Amino acid sequence: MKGTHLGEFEELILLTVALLNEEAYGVAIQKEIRKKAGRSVAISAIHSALNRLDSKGFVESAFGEATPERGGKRKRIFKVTAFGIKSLEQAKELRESYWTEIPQLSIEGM
Amino acid sequence: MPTLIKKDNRGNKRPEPPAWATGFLHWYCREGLAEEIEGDIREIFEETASAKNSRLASLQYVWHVLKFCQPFAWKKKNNKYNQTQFNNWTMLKNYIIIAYRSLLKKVGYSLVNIFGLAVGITVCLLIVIFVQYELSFDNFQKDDVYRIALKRVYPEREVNYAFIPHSIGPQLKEDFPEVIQSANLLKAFAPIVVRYNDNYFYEENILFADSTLFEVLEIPLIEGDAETALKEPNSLLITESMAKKYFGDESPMGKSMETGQGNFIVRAVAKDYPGNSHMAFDFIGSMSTFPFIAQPNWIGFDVLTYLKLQPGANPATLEKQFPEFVKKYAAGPIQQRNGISYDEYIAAGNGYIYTLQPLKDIYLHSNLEGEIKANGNITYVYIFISAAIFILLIACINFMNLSTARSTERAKEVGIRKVLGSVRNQLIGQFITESVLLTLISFVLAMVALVFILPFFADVSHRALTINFLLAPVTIAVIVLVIFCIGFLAGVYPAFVLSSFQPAAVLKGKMQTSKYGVFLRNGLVVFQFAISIGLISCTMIIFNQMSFMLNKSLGFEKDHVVVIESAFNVNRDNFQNPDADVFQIRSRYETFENEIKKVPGVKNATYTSAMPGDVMPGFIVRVPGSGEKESMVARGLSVDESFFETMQIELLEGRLFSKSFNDSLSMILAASTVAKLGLEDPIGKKIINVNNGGDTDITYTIIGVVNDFHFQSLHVGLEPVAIIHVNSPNTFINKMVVKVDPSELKASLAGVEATWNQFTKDTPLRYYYLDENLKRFYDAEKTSGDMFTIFTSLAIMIACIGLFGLAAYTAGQKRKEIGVRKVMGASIFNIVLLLSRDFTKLILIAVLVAVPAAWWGMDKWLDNFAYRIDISVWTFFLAALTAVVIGWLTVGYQSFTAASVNPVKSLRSE
Repeated sequence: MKGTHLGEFEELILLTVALLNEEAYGVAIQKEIRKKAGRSVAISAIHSALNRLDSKGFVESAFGEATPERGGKRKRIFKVTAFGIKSLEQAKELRESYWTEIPQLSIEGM
Repeated sequence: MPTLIKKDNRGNKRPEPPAWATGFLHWYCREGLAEEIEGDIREIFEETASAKNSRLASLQYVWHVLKFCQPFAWKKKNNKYNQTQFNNWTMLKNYIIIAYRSLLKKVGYSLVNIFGLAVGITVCLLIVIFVQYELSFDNFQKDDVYRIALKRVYPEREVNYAFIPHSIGPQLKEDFPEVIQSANLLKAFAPIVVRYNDNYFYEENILFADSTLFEVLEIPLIEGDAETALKEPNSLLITESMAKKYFGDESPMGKSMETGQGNFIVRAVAKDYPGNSHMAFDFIGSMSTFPFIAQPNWIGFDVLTYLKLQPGANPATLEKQFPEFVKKYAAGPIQQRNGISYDEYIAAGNGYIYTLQPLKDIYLHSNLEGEIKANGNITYVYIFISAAIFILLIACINFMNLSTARSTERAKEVGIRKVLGSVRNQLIGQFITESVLLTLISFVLAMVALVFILPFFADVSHRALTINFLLAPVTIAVIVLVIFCIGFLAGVYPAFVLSSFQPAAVLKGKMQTSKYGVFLRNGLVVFQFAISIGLISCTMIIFNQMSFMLNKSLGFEKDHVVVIESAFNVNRDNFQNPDADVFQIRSRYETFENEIKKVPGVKNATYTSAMPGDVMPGFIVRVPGSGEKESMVARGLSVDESFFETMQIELLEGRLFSKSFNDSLSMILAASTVAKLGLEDPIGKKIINVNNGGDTDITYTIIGVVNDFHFQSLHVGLEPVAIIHVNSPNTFINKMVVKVDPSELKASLAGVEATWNQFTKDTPLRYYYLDENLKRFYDAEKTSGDMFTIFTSLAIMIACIGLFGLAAYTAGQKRKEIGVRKVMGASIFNIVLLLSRDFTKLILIAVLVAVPAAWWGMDKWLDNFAYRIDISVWTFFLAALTAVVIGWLTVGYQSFTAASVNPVKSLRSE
């Protein structure tokens, strides 16, 4: 098993998968990120990240339905695992603990 | 990007993404992932297509497919989704085991196959080494270096010289910017005694060169400065091993070495010069030692000139400017010498055609008069490459023949395998594995054999061949590749034949002998024997020509003639009195000659300027009154009174040189020279010797005409020769010729040596036998003849091995037939005849194929010689007879064994 570190891009994808809930597949994730974060991400980068998240155990997947605009190909629907949710929470906690400890002054001084 | 338009369910036209991109995606992408990826990018495609246009969408689609080609998406070997592949390694192991068992099952057959192939591969490797060696010549030398060659055209003949007038090189450098540097080189015409303190030896490899030599040729120095090494007169460069030989552990730099040409100071030590070069040297003296080099010279040929051109300069452009150049500088001297204008001289059929030879091509492509050492010949390289290919072909054909012939034996095996589920590809794989395995074994054997044979072969070929020539990475790679190709090609035909059998048919016991197979087998036997017969004929013709040249009457007697080199040394105490004018004082010469003649066993002795086999200097003669244009460049020879008697050259007319006349202005001509000069009744006529340097011409009187004699190799025709007395002006003595009684050879040589030592000091006697020296002319032919003999024997051997195997097989097939015939009353002789008849027919067809090819090829080869044999039909008859007899012996043994078997034995079991 590879390391279970959660990178910034991976975190973004993971959050999006959680947000989309049962509708999370490649193209949907791409659109959601564009809408929410204003970032244009290549579809191959998304699949690559999902592949990594899958092997780290943050997401699980199952084939969904096929639609005509997909040329009859099934979607793979991703779901965040319990371990994934825990990792997301840890990441959030870690950040918050940093934020509480940063003195007000130093931010103003910047 | 073409976009396919398809109609959807509702009848609307819908764009389709390029199918090849989808195909590519599925090719690299693992299953499972491919579907979702295709779906996703398809979705994007549809979106773009409807929002913008289908062309852009297609581009984007392809772009996505390419971008997905990343490791995470690739197919993985042995993953859990993909286990339907064959385990190739296990199968291959099985092939090898089966191959090994089938080799052991028929040991004799395998040995015949392996042995034949091993011999073929050995021959090929030998030839590869030989060819590599020949091609390696001068590869270490600098690029863009050329030697100037001269084709001297005379009205009645042409001579190709390596040496040219010495002013040409330096002037070319002045006149043409593309010539960066030029260097003149001169080879000492006779061995020179070199001495340092008590060490003195005859040295043959002595060159003299310009100080620019190091800019033109690659000669790395160990000590000394290339700038100044050869600048001063009497400077000397010696090689490392010469430094050791003369100076031991002392440093040679600055030391003085004594030679017959004066004292030289060692100013440089060079690394030993590699043997694979068109030149060789142990010593290089400075050219400035000779005063004549300072004089301009445009028409006398004296030095070898090497030019270094600008990198990438085209030599052809430079060559084109040579005629103009020659006219500009040589016209004056030519006019002065011949008394007619340059244009008239050229119009009379004369010419100086200078060309540039790339330095690296000299060894294989140049064979001029005055080469520093004997060169190779690209023709022989081609001939040997073809021989190698032919021999390898013969060996491969053996292999194919024996394998297909045995196919009926293995038919049942193939049938069973097929029934048990073997597919054709597996059978082909099995048979090819077998043949590759055989080839590998043969190759290993060949390598072992090579190690033992190579020293012998190096001896025969007179070349420093080592296995190192095989060890270059590229060569090894090529050899390995070729070995696998041989195994594959030799195996591929039998593999296809054997694997094509129908299991139902062969298992029922139906023998499948296709007419096509028999025809092919016979065709291959014919081919093998055609090559063998061709090689036998070529070898015989080469040897016939050799013995023709060695035994042809040369116009003089070459046997029992001992030639003493540097005989002028008797005229001085070499190092005590070096100032004595060796060429002028004659009295001591005469005393020496008389003393030599008194030695028991010596029949005669004479002085001469040159002997047959030496390069004789040009000698320009003109018949007075017949016009200025009639001057002719002959070869000059000066001899004393005993020469013609000693050499047994026949007098045709007039008289020979004699002590009772003053012959210093007399001349003797060879018969063909008289004819070429157009003289009738020549005795008493005057001949003018035109002097090259522009000094006064000398007029000689013809006193005699002698029979023609060949003083050059028989590759070239007779050149005109003018013979004058050693007392004439401008002549010199070089060698002494001693005719000895063969029965007292040892005693007479000892006597000659004792006399020599009385007359000279610190100068060892050096002599050679004329007949042996003349054989050197034909070294190249002798060497290739010897090599050809080896290859021919091997080719015949391999072909016979194949025939032997085939005969054994046929006899085995006809066991029952032979049994029945014997029961019916056939004699052993009848049966041997029956079995041999077919092979005899094949060999006769091979004769018909081989003879015209060999005739044509050898006729071309013989055209290299001015004096050649005519190809006789008997040669081919003999070659064919040899092949037939060898074939009979091979087949006969098998036939006889088969025919002597008691028929009860062969008929008992059914």
